Amino acid sequence: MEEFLSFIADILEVDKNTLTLETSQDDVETWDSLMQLRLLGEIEAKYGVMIPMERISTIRKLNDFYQYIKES
Amino acid sequence: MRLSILSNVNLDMLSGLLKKENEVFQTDGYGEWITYALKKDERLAAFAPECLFLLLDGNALLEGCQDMGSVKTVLDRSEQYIEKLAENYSASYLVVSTIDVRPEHIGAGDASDLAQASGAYWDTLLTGLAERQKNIHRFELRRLIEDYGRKQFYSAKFWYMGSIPYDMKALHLLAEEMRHVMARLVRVPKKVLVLDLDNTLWGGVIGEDGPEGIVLDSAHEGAIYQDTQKQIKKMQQQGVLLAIASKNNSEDVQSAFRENPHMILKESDFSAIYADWNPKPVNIGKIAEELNLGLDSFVFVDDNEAEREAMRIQQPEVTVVDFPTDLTTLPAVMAEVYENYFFTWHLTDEDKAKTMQYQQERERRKERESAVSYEDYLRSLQTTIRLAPVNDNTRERAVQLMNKTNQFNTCTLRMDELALEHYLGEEGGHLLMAEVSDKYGNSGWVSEFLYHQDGDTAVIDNFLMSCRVMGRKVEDAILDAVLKKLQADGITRATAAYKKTAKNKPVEALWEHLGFAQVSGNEEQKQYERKLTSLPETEQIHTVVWDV
Repeated sequence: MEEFLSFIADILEVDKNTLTLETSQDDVETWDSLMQLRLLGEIEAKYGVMIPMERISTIRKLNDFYQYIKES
Repeated sequence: MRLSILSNVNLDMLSGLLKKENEVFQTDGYGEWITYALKKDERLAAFAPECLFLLLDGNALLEGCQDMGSVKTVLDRSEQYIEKLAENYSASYLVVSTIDVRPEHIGAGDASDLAQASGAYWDTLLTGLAERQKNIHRFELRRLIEDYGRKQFYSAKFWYMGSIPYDMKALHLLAEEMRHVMARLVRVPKKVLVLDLDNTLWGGVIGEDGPEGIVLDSAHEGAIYQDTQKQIKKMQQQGVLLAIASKNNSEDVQSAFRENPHMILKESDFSAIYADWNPKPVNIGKIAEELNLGLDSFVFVDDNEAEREAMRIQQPEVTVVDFPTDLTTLPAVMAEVYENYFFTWHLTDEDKAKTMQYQQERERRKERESAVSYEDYLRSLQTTIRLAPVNDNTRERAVQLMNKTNQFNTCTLRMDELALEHYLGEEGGHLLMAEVSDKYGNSGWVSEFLYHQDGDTAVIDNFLMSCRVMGRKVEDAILDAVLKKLQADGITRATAAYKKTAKNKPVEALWEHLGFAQVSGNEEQKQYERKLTSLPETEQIHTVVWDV
């Protein structure tokens, strides 16, 4: 999980210590709709998972992404 | 770098990937590139991007095209937009992509042919654009896509979710290629590739295996070395100077080049050959001296880590290439060496003829050693110097020369095409170019003299000369001819200056030597002047002709 958070922090360009799995889109200024897509793309590429297109709108918190990695 | 990305699809994510090391101007909306092209955008102009990327997605661009006729209409129109874009942002490097078209996205029936023909047609338009507009450069988008594989490069998900045609990994690749392009735009290219022989240009040891026994062939392991030599030969044809630093007996090396039938490189491809038992850092120093070039323009390739380490420590200015552990990648590594260190956007005729000119220099040196006095030797060369104001044919060379000449350069005034235009126009400057030829050959346009007139005074703004013709009293002949002409024009006084840089020590005392008197200055810069009222009739060694 630590590794996941630092990976995300790097993409969002924020300090890793400000992130937890409960961090949501509203907490991070750089997390706009384009960033939402980028996070999806980066996570799919790095962890070899597939996040279905129709689920993207339900993702609000980092934990929502993290569930896909855990399942894989 | 300050950059901005224009596209006909949504590539905003690229800005995000590049903004860590660069300043990125985010354009409004996507697909707005045509608006930016046709109308100079005030905000973008104020941002003054050094590099403007135009990345075109072929599939979106040719949406709905069914045949070559309609493809050409769209592409011809795009060419005109780019022409406008280059005019509106003439101070920026404009990097325009090639296009990739997926057969399933175009035409019907012979879609594959049409897709390919579209890409090729755009290539020819791009070549024409780059020839007409010097600030336009090509971005090899299609090659990037082909190398990576179309299936992986494109992403249906990103396309339907965000109008982004490419996959996340593909976007990272694109960003990486853009970084490479930007690095190449601002980098000063290297000049000399110094090569080891045994286990670098062929397999095995020539001193033990003999000319027939070394590994060099058109198939199997020997082909690795032959392909490596082919890459190096290509570099030489692009103006890279080659040299050898090898620990071998020179007769063995000669026999390898003369007797092995699979050898691609010939002895005449090399500007300097050092095959002896001296340390390589010493020999590379001698090569630098012989070619009259700084060691910072040298790249060294050797399979032996101990030799590489010795070079790094004793000649830290030399770029040392990491030799691959997987030998099969050696030809590709050589191709990369060219891309990373030697690549230049616009090759001039002078670049292509470089090796020949350095060989002529070797012949001249032989003559010098046999001549009685130095003046006799110079006279025996039968040098002719052609002087002419810069014109459309010599402008590109003029800019190139003034930006890469370091040693013989009195004020090291660097200008790009635009600055030169300004200098010749609004600033009232004059730029005289000199072409030098002798009985061994033509060295090309190798010297520049820049001045402007202030009342009855000629202010010499810069005097520079390629190191290729240094030490032949060419500068004496040029100055003598120019001053006589100025005098005839009614000028009574000339002023000049020396501005010290890390490299222009060779001209520190040039103006004194040419009859100027110092009037003020310090260690860093000195001002000189010379009255032109009476010029002494000196005997000239070289012939000068004016071409006005």
